[in-house]
Amino acid sequence: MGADRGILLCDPQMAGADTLVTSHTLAQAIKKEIPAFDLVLCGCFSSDSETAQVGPQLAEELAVPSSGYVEKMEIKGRIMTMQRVADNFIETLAFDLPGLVTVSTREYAPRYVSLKGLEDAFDAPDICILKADDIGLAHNEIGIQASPTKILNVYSADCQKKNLVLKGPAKKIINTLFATFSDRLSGAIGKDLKMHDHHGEKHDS
Amino acid sequence: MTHNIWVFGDHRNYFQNRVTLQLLARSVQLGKKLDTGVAAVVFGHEVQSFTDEYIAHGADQVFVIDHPCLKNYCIETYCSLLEGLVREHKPFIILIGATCFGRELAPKLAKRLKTGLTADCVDLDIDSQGLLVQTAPAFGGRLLAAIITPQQRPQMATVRPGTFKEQPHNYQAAGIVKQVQLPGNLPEVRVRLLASKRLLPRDQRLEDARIVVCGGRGMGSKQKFKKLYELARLMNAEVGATRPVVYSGWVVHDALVGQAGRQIQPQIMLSFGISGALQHTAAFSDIDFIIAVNKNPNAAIMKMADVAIVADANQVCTAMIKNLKAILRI
Repeated sequence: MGADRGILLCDPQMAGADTLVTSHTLAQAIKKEIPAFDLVLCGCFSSDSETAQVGPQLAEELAVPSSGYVEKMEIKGRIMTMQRVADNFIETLAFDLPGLVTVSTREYAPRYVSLKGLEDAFDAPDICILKADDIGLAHNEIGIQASPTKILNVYSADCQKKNLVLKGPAKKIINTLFATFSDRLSGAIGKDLKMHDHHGEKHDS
Repeated sequence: MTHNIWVFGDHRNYFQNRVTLQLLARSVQLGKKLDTGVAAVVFGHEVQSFTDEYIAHGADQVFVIDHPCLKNYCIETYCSLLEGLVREHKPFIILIGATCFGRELAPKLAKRLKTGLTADCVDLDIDSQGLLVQTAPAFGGRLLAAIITPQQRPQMATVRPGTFKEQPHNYQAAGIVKQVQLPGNLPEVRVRLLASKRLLPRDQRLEDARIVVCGGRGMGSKQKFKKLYELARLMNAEVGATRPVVYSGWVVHDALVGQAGRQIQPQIMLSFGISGALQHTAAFSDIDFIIAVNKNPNAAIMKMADVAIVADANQVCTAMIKNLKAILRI
C-alpha cells in the first residue's frame, strides 16, 4: 500500500486499555521511535467500538495541533489545510506541521496494492515488533490496570419483546398489517388508511 | 446547593440540535439521585438566550464566558476554558453531546484531566455507590457494556443527540448565572479557522421524522433501494440506511442511522433487510413501534420488532407501495 516501515506494538500487558491509556501507549511509541514526525494520520474511529477518542487524545499527549473528521487535506510547505463538515458547518482549517489529523472515510478510499508493493512486502519488510519495555512503558501505566474506566458487566442488547410474526406471500402480509394496525399507521402518517372506506373497490389490479 | 453535574452547552447548531437540552433533562434526574444540582457551561458571544434556555430546561446554575473572541467555536480555546473551570470547581460528572465538536472536545478534556470517558452512551444512571453507570455499545456492537470510572474525577461521558428526551421548558425556573471573565493566559490558537459556512438544515429531518423507513443490504441493489424513497413519500416518512448500504454508495452518508450517524426516535420505524447490528440499533431511542422485514427470522432486529415479517424485503416494500397507493387513491 505504500508504507516504508511498520511498527507493531504487541504485548499482552497492553491488552484491555481504554482510550486514555491507548493514546498514552501510542504517544510513547511515537516519541521513542519517530520523535521528528511531521504528521500523524489516524482514522476517525475504529470499526469495533467507534469511540473516535484516541486520535484527539494522542494529539494532546504529543502536544501538537489536531483536527478531527477531516474530509479533504492538502499540505503546502509546512502548512496543512483541511476541510470538513462539522455539525452542519463547512469548515476550512489550517495548522502548521507537525500535527495530527483524523480522517473520515468519505473522500479517501484505499488504493489497489501494486505488484511492486507486493514484491517488496514479500522481500524483507521493515516491521519491528515492540513490547512495553522497549518503549519505556512501565506495566502500571498500560493495559486494563491503568485504564480509568472499568467495565462493570457486559450483556446482550437483545430484548425479547412479545411480537407478531407474519409469514407468507407479501401481498397477504401487507393486507394483514394494514388491517391490524391501521389506526396506528394512520395516526403517524397523518392520513386515514382505514380499509373499510374502500370496500368493494378493486384497487390491486 | 452544590452543582456537581455539568453539561457542556453546545449551542452552535441550536434548534436542529437539542442534545444539550436532552442532557440537562437527564442530569436533573441523575442529580435527584445524588442530591446535587446541575450546571450548564456556555462559551460564546452574546449567549444570553442560551443561558435562559438552559435554566428553563433544568440547569440550576450556568457558567458563562461571553466574549467576542469566542464567537466561533474553537477546539483549543474552548477546551482550555472548560479545563480551567473544571479544575477550579471540580464537578463530579461532565456530560457532553456527541456532536462533531463534542466528540473532539470531550476526549481532549478527559486526556488533560487524566480521567475516563465513555463515548456514545445509550443510557446513564447512578448506582448504589453513587457512581455514574455509563452504558455503551461494546465489542463490535453486539453487546452493551456498563462502564464506571471508580477512581478518577470527573466522570465523563458523551451522548448522541436523541438519546434522551428534553423536559418541557419552564421560563419561571430560577437559576444562578455566573459570569466568568475570559482568562488572560489562554494558549495560542494553533488550528486556524479560515472559513466557516452554515449548511442549510435540509438533512435534519431524520431525527424528527414521525416515521422512518430504514433499509439495509437485504434490499438487494441500489436500484431496488430507491423504492424505499417512494414508500417514504407515501407515508410522509424519511429514509435511513445502514452502514453497508452507505459504504456501497447506494445512498449518501447523511442517511446513515447508527452509532456513527444519526439517532432516530420516530413513532414508527419500518426496517427493510436489516439484520440489526448494535452499531445500527444503538441509534434507536424510544421508538414506539418497529416493523421489521427480514428473510432470516432469527435476525437480531426481528426480536426487537413489534411486527416481524419473515419475507423478502424488496417484495414486501413493493406490496406496501401498491397497497398504500390503492388506499390513498393515488
